[in-house]
Amino acid sequence: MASDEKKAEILKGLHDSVVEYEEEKTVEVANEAVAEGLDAFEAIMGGLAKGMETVGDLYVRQEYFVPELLLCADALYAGLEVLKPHLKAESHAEPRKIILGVVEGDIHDIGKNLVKVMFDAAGWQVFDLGADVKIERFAEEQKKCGAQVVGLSALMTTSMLAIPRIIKTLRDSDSTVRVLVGGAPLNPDIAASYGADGYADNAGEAVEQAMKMLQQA
Amino acid sequence: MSNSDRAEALLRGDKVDRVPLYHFLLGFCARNVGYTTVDMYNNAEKSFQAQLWTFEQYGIDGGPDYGYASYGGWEFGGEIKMPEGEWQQAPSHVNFPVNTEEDLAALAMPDVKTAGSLPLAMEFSKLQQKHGKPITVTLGGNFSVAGNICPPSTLCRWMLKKPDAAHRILQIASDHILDVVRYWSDTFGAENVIPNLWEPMAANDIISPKQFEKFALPYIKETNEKMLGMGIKHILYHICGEQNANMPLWAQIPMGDPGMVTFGHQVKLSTAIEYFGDSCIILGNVLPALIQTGTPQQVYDASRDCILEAKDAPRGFMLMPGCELPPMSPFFNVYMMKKAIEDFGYYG
Amino acid sequence: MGIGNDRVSMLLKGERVDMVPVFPLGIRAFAALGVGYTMGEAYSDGEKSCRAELWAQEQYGFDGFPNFAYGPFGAWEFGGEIKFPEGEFQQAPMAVRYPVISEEDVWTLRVPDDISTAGAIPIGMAHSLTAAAAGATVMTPNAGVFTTAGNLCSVQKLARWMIKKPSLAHRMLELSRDFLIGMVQLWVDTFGKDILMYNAEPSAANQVISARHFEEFVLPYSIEVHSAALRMGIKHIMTHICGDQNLNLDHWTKIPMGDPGLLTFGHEVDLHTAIEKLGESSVIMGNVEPSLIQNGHPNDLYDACRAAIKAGKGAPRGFVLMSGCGFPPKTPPYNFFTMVKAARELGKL
Ligand code: B12
Repeated sequence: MASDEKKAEILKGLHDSVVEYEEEKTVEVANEAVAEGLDAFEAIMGGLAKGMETVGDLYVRQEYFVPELLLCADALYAGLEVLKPHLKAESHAEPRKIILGVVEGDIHDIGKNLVKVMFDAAGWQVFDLGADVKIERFAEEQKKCGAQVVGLSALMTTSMLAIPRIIKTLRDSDSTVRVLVGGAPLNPDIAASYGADGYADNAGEAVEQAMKMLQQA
Repeated sequence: MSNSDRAEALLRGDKVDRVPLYHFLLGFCARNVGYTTVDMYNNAEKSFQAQLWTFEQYGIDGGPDYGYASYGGWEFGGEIKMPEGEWQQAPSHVNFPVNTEEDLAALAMPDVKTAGSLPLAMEFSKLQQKHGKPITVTLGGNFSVAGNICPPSTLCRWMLKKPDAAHRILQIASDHILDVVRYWSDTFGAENVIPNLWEPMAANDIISPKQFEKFALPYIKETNEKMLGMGIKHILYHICGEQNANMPLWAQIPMGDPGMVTFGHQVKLSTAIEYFGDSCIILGNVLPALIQTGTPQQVYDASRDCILEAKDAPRGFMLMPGCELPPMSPFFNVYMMKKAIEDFGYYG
Repeated sequence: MGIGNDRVSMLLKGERVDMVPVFPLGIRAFAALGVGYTMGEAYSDGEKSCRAELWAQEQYGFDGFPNFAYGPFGAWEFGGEIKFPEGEFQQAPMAVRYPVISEEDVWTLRVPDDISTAGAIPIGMAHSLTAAAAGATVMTPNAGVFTTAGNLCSVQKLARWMIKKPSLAHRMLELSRDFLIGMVQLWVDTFGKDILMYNAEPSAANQVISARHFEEFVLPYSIEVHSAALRMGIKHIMTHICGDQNLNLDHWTKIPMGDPGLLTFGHEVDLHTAIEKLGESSVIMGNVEPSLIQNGHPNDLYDACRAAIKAGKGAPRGFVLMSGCGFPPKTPPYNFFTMVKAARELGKL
């Protein structure tokens, strides 16, 4: 078992290497965590995911832009790959599931991809349907994987009109599913008028919102 | 003054009777005349006709244009999909010609006479010529073309981790833009061609001003200088999205005399005039979403505010939405932009 | 309040106009969609739908005045049920339950006690109030006496009764007549006598009934309703002689329309014939085919307008270019613009 000091050092190492988008360093520190017998769940949440949270803040403050975010995400995923096999059974308990996709007719997927990273970092199982996703597919996939939350992204005023239709097909097939929406032309009012359960302005808030929605459910 | 005269008068440096109205609006035209959106993107004749009709109806100045933001992928050998169904408003990528550094190393320059959408664009420009309209060719800005040849996320990663690859793909995009503009110049005479360049991908929604300075600025600047060197007189740049932090850098780029620069609602028109007013006609920037979802009064008020803010720009001002007119905009809201010009856009 | 100043209203006042006016009949669904309202709102919200029409009028520069009439008028007012349009393909309200189902119902059915609160009347009233406030000509929102009767029990039933049980059919028409007269009175009480009464008779077309039945079941009641309206002081009645009514035209000449009346025809009736038979006493309006308006190439539509203008221009009391029936809501805006343009370019007087 690692000492508290060592543990703190490793968590900070994971955090920093994600923030500094040092992919190799992240793998290195993750291996060290395994070697030192650190709890994998703690390493992920207290190290990698914390790092991604900081990255989210840097993005909001316009210190980081999309390129930096993408590389931070690469580092995060590399670390996850090392740590995930070492997760203990109980922390393996059925993870929360979310389906993500950009709605039909819309190819703007950069924002959705960032949202996906945040859910991955927070330990969710993400089913990413990509961009330009046909209306019916969301409900079909939701039926298959039983995700509690579906996240819809739209970047154009044209394509956002598909959202209420998608919500209807989702509700028709599973009345318990929660729908989270986001993207530049949306706001909380439009989201509510479309019948969504939640809205988030950016990737960082998205996970928070999703958690809230599940608690309300 | 007839509609098509006004934009040309501003380009000549002549006075106009009122603020001209300008639009990128292919999808909207389809709805307005009862065509499909696909017609607007893959049938030059119908696309041209639908725009002429719609311009006549709403009093839009300037000529019909052809083009879309995903330009570049198809031309370099990738695949795009024409818009279909209810929700699509423009062509979109299916896959990209470049995904890896190996792809990049093997990438060949396309033949501009046959590649991708260019034959259609050429057919369209011949219609512009035949009808005595300004001859335009719509491409991405250098950074957006690069980000359409490889996925934008790849371009982003390369900027930080493989700057050589990023520079290489930007050089290829730049050479291609020049190839196309040269082809148009050879066909129609450089002095008659107005390149329309859209640069959404270099927005600060995506990259930092530092990255813009390193990876966008030098290429855009050099390409514009070379186009002007060929004899091009005016360049239209759509400086799309959040670009406030890039403005001092954009200001270093020559756009012709005058150039035409169009802005999203994110950049204030007074800021645009500060940086470009002395050298360019300023176009912008009614919030597109408002035109689709706002009340007629809101559209009218927003148009009035734009007109009052920018009407007296030294080289002229044209009212337009902050990006493409949303295809689903209520017809009456679109009319309200013209009404605002009638009420506030005349020069005393 | 009263008669407005658009070119159609000028014709009614006997004034000269500079060009053939354009008056698209029943444009409010098209207008509502044009400002981003739903098809449902075009019918369920009188104020919004009227405002949309006035806006469309400003945008396209056409003449005439807002009008609220809709197909199943009568069914709801007498206690039945209608459904407002929803979804993509519905374009107007429809009756889902008629107030008269059995023969007994005919004898128990009564004209609503308070017409002002019945069915869609408040919606129609809100529409007219909005029009009046904008200085536009006000027009009653009803359909014709035979069509309204058909809306009470279904046209099929009415048609069957005409042959098998004429007393039931006559009773339906009497109820319809009394209701319409009451409604016109309500409008006159509210807006004064300088308004128009509206009448539309799609169910009386020869695609549905014969001229003989028209004579027996439509003519006498129409004369009664129109005469009552004229006695109230109304000067002009606008009547949409919908569909193929060629065999009924001689009967229509016997119905008083005011001076002048305002008669609108579908593309099934030749404008020359309409003018010859009815042009001395009424302004003639018509009759560009609706499906051409919605689906036609702008050039073909322009040509059809040219033909209509050419045929109608010389009408003694005036001619108005119009859609041959309710204006198709899904018309591409440029096609409508083309109609107005054709009148401007070809209709100079
Ligand atoms: C980059 C860009 C492009 C790139 C897209 C590349 C890609 N693969 O994504 C390219 C060049 C291909 C492009 C094409 C087009 N574009 Co574009 N584009 C942009 C631009 C400048 C930036 C978008 C972006 O990536 N932002 C960065 C990301 C990180 O932010 P984001 O997407 O908003 O996401 C964040 C939040 O919104 C939120 N979020 C997002 N999704 C979700 C989902 C959930 C569940 C949650 C909780 C949160 C959430 O979290 C994210 C991270 O914080 C915008 C401008 C703008 N204002 O958005 C225009 C813009 C979206 N484009 C526009 C247009 C018109 C087009 C075209 C139609 C142009 C044309 N005629 O060809 C085409 C579209 C083709 C198609 N079929 O879709 C318009 C849309 C106008 C409208 N109708 O509303 C915009 C708004 C520009 C403008 N000012 O008007 N475009």
